[in-house]
Formats: sequence, structure tokens, C-alpha cells
Amino acid sequence: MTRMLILLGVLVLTQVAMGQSPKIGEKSPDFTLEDISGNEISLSDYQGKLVVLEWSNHGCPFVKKHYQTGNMQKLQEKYTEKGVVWLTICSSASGKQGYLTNEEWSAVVEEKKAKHTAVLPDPDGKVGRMYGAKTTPHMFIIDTTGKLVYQGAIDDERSWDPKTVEGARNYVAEALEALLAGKEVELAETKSYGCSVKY
Amino acid sequence: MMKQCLQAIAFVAVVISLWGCDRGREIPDEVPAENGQLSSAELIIERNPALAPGGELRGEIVLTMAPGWHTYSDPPGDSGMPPIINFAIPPDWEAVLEPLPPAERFEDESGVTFGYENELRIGFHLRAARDATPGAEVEMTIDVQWLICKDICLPESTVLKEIVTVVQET
Repeated sequence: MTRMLILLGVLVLTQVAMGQSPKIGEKSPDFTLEDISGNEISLSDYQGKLVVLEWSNHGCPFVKKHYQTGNMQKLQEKYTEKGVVWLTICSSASGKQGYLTNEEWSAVVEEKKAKHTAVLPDPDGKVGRMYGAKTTPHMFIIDTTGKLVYQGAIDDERSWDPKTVEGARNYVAEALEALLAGKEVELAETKSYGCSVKY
Repeated sequence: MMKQCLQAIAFVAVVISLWGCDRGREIPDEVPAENGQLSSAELIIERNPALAPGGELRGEIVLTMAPGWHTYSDPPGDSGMPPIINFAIPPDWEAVLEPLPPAERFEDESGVTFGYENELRIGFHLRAARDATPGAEVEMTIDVQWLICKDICLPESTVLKEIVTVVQET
């Protein structure tokens, strides 16, 4: 029994040391961050709702592709209107590309007409590392029971070219449509693409 | 011939001028997508390329990057984008890319990527249609998109052109 407990302890410690991010079907780890208006937002505030986590950096050409074409805003608007919570997280460290002060963020949100639920700066990269966010964009979807049900790319066009948005297979929209219809997500994991997260 | 020479000189001059004005340039946080200036793409192919019907020649697309910048292999690893190359050639002509050369490994806090610093040479083979008409001048257009990264990533793109003359089989 003692040996079992030691083994379990070692396993847990190893996972923590390796910074293992949540797997599909596992409970999504809770976090608390301050949004750009100074409100404390926790993932657990949205229990019982579908939640999208979008990793962002407005200096990154791949993020620009989705915002310049209005693709990201359209998704945000469509699904927040259906009750989905959309959290835009920025894990750029201070001084690195994509880092913005709250005032700068507000200006970007206004200029881009973004329709997310909240923007959560994560300059120490705590939440980015917790989820294993590797690129911008990198998308995660959490179901109403708190389980991670999608992680990966926004779509199948792994390019910065705005012309590739039209006709792309949007994995996030597919997953959200399935979840809203009470179905399982068919493609639960893809490889995200974009710039590296500027931790 | 004269026109081709002038075009080639003009292209080289544009590449040199873009290259020259980049050096020491401070990179702003927000770099517009069309601001492709820290690397260049060049088409290396025999002078006055000529192919008999069904014949084949080899060329290279050479991406040159400013010191410290790199582009990506395929697959690129945890982030980045391999070059995207599209040939516009007549139907029944064929362009086949060679596999990319072995890549270097780059590691940072957000993961591991694979790519190339300084220069990437992408080989390709152009094959003329079997029923190509001798005497015809065929334009080959190559649309190249690539990504270069250092502390930040920049999108780069260009269109490379060459005229290939169809000649009699010898």
C-alpha cells in the first residue's frame, strides 16, 4: 500500500514537473486571471457553459489573418449569442510581441470589433503553460461538465494568407455545432498552427 | 532577349534595394503583412531555359534570410509554417518539388521547431508537356509564401517568373 502511494506520488510529481497539459476528456484545470477591465475571472465562474479559450497575439501574422478578415469576430459573435463563453487569452510576456497594456487592449478590441466575452492578459504565462498553449492562435473548448473536448487549430488552412480563410474547414465551429446539438465532437484534437506563444 | 535581361536586372535591383533598406531597421510590434523585407526569394535556373517536348530541367528557389532569422521545414514542429509554393504552368506541364533539406532544431519556451537559418534552397523539376509545340514560349509563374521568425514572425511572399522556350528534340 505504502509503495503504491509512493508510486502515485512520484507519478503526480512527474506530471507537475513535466508541466503536463490537460488531455482530451480530462477535467480542464481552473484558473483565475484579471480581465482588461480589472475584473477577476475564473474558469469555474462558467460552470455549466461551453467555454472557448483562444490564445492571441495581435502582432502575429496568423492572428492577423483571422482578425483582418473578420473570421474570428464572426465566430465570437455567432457563438456568444448562443450562450458560449469566449475567453481571449494573451500569454505574451511584458516586452514581447503581443503584450499590451489594458488600455492598448481596449483600443484593439474596439478597432477589431472583437466579440469575445473577455480578454485575459496572462503575462507570466501561467495559464498558457497550464494548458500547453503553443501557438497563436491555439484553440481549446471546454464542455458544460468542465471537460476539455477540443484542442488545436482554428481551421485546416495552416497559412498566414488571408485568402485561405474562405473555404477553410473550421474545426472550432464544427466542434461547437456538435456540442450545441448535444453530440460528441468528432475531431477532438488537431495540431495548432501559428506563431509561437511569446512567453 | 533584351527585355528578359532588363527584367532580370530590374528584379536583382529590387531585391538588393529591399535588402539594403532592411539592415538595422527596427522592427515595430505591428508589422503589416505586406512588409516582406527581411528575406528574399530568388529563382535559380539555367540562363534562357529551353526544353524539348517531354524534357525536364532542374531549378531552385532560394530563400535568403537576414542574420538571426529562420524559416521552417515541413512539418515545422510546434509552431511556424513551411514554405507554400504554387506553380502556374500550362496544363500537361509538371513541376515537382524535391524534399526539403535536413533542418536545424530550434527550441524555446513554447516548444520545438525545425527550420533553416541564413538560406534555404528548394529544388524542383520542371517537365514540359509531351505535346508541347517547338518554338512556343511558356511562362512559368511561381507563387512563394514563407514565414520568417526571430523574436517575432513575419509573413513573406513573392511571385517568381521565367520564360521557358520549347525547342526541337535533338
